[in-house]
Amino acid sequence: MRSTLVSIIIPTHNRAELLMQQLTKLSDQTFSSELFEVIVVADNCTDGTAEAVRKYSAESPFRLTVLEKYFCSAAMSRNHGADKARGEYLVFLDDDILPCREFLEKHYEMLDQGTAVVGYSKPVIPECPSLWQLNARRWWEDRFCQMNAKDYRFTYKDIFSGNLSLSAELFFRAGKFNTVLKRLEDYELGIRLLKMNTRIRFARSAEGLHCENTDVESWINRQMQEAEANIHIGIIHPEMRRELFPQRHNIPYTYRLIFSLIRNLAFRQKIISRMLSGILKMTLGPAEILNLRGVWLKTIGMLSYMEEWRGISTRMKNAEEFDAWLCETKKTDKEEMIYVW
Amino acid sequence: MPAWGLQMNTRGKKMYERTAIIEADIENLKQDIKVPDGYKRTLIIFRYRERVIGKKIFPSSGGMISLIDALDYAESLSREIYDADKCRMEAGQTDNWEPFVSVIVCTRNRTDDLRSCLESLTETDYANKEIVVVDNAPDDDKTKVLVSLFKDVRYIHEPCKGLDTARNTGLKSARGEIAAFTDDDACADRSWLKSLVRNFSNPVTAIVTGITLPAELETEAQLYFEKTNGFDRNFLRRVFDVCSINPVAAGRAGAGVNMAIRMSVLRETGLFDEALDCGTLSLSGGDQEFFYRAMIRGYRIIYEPSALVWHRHRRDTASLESTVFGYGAGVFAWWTRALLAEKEFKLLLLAPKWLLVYNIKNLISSLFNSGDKLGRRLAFAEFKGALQGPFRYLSARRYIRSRSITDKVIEKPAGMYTAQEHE
Repeated sequence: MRSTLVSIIIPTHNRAELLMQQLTKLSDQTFSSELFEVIVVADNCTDGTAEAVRKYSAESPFRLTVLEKYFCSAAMSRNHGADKARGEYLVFLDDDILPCREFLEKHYEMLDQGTAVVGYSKPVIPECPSLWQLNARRWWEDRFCQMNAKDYRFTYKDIFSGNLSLSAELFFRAGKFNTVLKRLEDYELGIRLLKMNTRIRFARSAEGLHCENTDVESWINRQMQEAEANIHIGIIHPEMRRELFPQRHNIPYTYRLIFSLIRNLAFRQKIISRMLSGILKMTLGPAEILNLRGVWLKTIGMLSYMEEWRGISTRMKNAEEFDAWLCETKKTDKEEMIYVW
Repeated sequence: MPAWGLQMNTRGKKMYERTAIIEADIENLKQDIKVPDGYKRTLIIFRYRERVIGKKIFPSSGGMISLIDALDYAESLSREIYDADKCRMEAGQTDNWEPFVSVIVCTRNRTDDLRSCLESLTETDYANKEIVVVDNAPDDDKTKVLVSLFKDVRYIHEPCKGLDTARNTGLKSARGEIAAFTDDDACADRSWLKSLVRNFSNPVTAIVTGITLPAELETEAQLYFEKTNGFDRNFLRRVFDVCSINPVAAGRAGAGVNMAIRMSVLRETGLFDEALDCGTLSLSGGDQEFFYRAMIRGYRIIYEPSALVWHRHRRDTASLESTVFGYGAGVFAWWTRALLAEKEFKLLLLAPKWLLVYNIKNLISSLFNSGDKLGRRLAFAEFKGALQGPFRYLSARRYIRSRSITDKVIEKPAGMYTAQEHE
């Protein structure tokens, strides 16, 4: 028997049905099933995922390991899976992505020691999609379309841990996923990978069907956590602060007053800001039912802005402190420049 | 305003003049442009490497247009040239992708026009295609005979009258990944298909529309149509989706005379509504309604000005009047459908507003313009059409439903289309 070449690491949480579908897809790969193994990290599962996978491992053509843990964090699951992996290359796959037949072959084709490959996760939406799902599909497709362009310059934001492959050596050298972050741990890994001069490539043909089942509510809540995570990343990588919080230049003049009001409320009147966000969230439903798409889109934009500032306000005392924090990097940049000159 | 050969002089008397149409490649503009005999005005269409980038009317003195005038205008087109270059570069990425395209031409008793249309289609520089002619409730078999003269053109007979019925028949029998539509009174440019298809690289792009320019400007009616209801938008590529425009204004995205549809999206959007467009009481609006539906299903429409079709507008004023009447009726007909079927409640506010700010304003301004008799007639026709639109749609729908029960079962589009997504 030949040695394992690729390890697929799938962190999962209570999605037994989808996971089984995924494993069936993986058993029908053009890539030889002797050459890869699958590690399922069942994180805090209560729906019998581990048992089902164990049962399946008897008949699966590839080596299938299941690890049961109580992490409550995808990053820790992924790190744990990577620790146990024997493969030369690691493929991180989310449990809601159904890979196509050539999935592994195409990933493997593009891989080498200093490369991270991001696969194409084609968003699939349910039959009666909500406005949010339609928007999310457009957003994903646009992003992948951009990445597919010839001279695209990859950024840390293109590292999407749902469909990602890289060599194990590179992954450990970069220092694995950051487990302290609650969100955006893939972006943070991306920053470190780019600092190590890793080449990022996009594999259009390493396609997985991404079942888009998030809803707008959880996305909005995530904005706050992401803002917090961004601050955290800014502390780890001070030179990235400006990148992490890009200034919004495209706000129309009429909205600027509202937006500065939102910002001030988030710092000074946290309770009112929270209530306002709750009220805005309540208008989303009726706007969708009445097909008022323009109103819906504007509300979403406002809400995401509001949540972002609420997230920032949990870490920063006031707007001035935040601005100073952002500018700190500028100083160091200047110092560096002087040093270089 | 010296646009389109129609000029009001100070006494309000209308003057119009036949206008010649000449194409000029700005890279080959080396000498004065010769104007055909008998024309005092010339519409010059500027091209840059297979792409139209601008147009302007020039008065011709002594049968010539001076090179300097033409170059002066060509220089002002730098933005369009930049856009064309950018498009070419973007297109370079998908150049090797040539999916199978079905070109569908719906026709009814216009055999002479259809001949030149088919000739132009067979000459396009896109090999991987089929051409389908849908003959809609013909009075004779002239079209069938004509089509049999062309080797690679498929003929389909559709006995039920209605442009959208014919379009659906074409779509159901199309084998391509992409279905491109043009009208029987239009001629496609050589690079038409290639330009349309290269825009389908993003999977959320459902429809690509192109620019439509006049094939001739000989009569008052044609000049008038081009001035007021012309198909051409402008010469810059534009992307339409829910985020960029209100889908109720889908008419801005293009027209059925020059469009291509990705077949796989039909599963989500459904087919054309057979109670709309020519041949039914609704008279028009089928294409716009489809654009609207694609947009609200989260898809995107791209307007690509390098995909060029030449359209021969109606020559006589009577048919121009009925066309404009149809446009008025069609818009309100498909808005009625959007209100009923898609629960587009904001139309209850927008439709009366549009009637007020567009139709009635047009009507009033044409009343004050005493010299412009045709304009008054057209404004009145459009207004009349707009008022009748909703009722026309409702009775057309009633008719279609009774038809579908008696002699034709409309199949559900779901599961019919197995067209592969482009990888």
